[in-house]
Amino acid sequence: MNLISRKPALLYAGLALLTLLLALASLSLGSTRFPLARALAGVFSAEANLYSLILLELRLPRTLTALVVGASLGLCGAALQGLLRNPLASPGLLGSSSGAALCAVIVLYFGLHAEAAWLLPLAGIAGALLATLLVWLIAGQNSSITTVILAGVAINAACAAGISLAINLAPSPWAVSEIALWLLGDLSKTSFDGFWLMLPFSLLGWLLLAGCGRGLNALSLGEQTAVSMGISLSRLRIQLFAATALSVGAAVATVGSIGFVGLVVPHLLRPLVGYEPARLLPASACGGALMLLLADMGVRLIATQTPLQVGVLTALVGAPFFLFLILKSRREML
Amino acid sequence: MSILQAKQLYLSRGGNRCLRRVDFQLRSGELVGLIGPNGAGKSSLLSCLAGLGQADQGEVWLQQQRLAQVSAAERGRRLGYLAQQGEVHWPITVERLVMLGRTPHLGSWQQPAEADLKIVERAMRQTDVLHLRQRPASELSGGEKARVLLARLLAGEPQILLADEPTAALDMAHQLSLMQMLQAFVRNKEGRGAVVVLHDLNLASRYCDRIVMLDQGEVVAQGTASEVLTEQRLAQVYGIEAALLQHPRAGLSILPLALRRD
Repeated sequence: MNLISRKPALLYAGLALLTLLLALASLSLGSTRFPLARALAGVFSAEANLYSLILLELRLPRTLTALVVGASLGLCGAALQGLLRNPLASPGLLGSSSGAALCAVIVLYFGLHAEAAWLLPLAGIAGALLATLLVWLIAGQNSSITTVILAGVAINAACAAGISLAINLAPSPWAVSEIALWLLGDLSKTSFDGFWLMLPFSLLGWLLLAGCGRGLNALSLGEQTAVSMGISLSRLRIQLFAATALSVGAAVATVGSIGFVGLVVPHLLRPLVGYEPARLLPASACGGALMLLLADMGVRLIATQTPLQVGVLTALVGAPFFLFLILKSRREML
Repeated sequence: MSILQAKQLYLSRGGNRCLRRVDFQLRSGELVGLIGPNGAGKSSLLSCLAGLGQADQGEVWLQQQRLAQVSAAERGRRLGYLAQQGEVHWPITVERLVMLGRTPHLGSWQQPAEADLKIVERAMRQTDVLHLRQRPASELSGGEKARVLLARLLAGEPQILLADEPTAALDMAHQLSLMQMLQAFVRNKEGRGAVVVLHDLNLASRYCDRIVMLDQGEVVAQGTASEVLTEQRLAQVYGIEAALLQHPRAGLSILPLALRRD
């Protein structure tokens, strides 16, 4: 443990390797036994076979989407917990998830996505940006952390109300179930179109967060001390708000709401990086990708009559696990 | 020569006057004590001097430059600020915490180099916390934590130290050792200086080269301990009756006797 916390590169390498292995496993996992060698032969030859089609058109985008979404959630969760110096902050706190969900639900409500499929993720991203902007305008610049959290809670509540309204007034039971299922988070309908639409927003968010480590580290000594060391708090906040709006917004817009990844992963990895916010960022990105991949493999392996939604599984496993972590840390403190 | 200077500072927060017409000077090689009753404006003045808050009127000068025009990074390198509450939010190790002091010297993407590690180690040795380097900061005692936070400050190699009640939570031995460290800091190298907010008038009298007394946002007296700390002023500003004693080793000492009845 001590060795790992002193040499974070070891941890990063280990996590990355594990993620890669799981990604390969995820590619070969499905309802039917899958000859990976034959599929790969199809990929690299001029003649595509059935397996190479399944691999390229279904499993590859699904695996890649799980990786990027998981990494975004883990990364933003870690960054936000660092900014707010609170291990209970989740990436949706600044409004990005619920804003994305509300706008996507509006699209589903009016059935606009039937005409243009790309409208759904795009509306989601717009919603995430809008909701985060609102939280920023209310509490972004110079207010205390408590005000930021309260503003986030208020905007999230407003978005939730809008979503409830849409379900309440939905034109048909079919629309209700579509909205409800979408909200649960689902990776099974991912395609390369959706993935390519999401990717630039995710990457832009990651890039913004990559430069935040120094500021987040300084913040662990309090805001005044961080400012006295030359950190610009307002710039740090803008970067973080924009990054979560972009990457979490794009993730939710593409696959729906997936809870607990951004909350549990940073919490779990923090002791392994010596509790340092900057070192937690890359670890948490890897961990998030890892956890979502695992969850997605889980929903494919667990046979249920209606397919299990991945967001349901992360919440089912995440909530008791989180509780366990809290109880454990409480025992250690006593 | 003054290395840090405030000219005619005015500051109010939420309708309350914090500072009024405050002139302040820190000269090279000086340890200055800021004293005054609660709410006198000591912390406000210190945070203006540190460039953390802008005054409504007036200017702070860092040598020949307006502080407001010094870049944040440059300000971070030259002024070291020790906040009143020593907040430490995560149980990071002492060594990594002291390393945070190098923040103003490192770019966003830059990792600390061998030279930085040496500076951090020296700072930990100076404040006698080297043996704690692998301990989580959350498990330290009050005295250890104060020394670790001072090491963080020294690791930034500032020219000027600004400390807000650094002795508040310390026992007597740690109070003396902290004041000695501050004194050593200003004496050890040319061009350095320190401003310390203190509640303990005896520490101020014994260790500070000069004392500035604030009351209701205004400077009411400044000079050596015997010039500033008089029976009359203690009665006026603090509302106490006090005996002033001369001790052969400690110099001027203040013994509070009673609240003054008006």
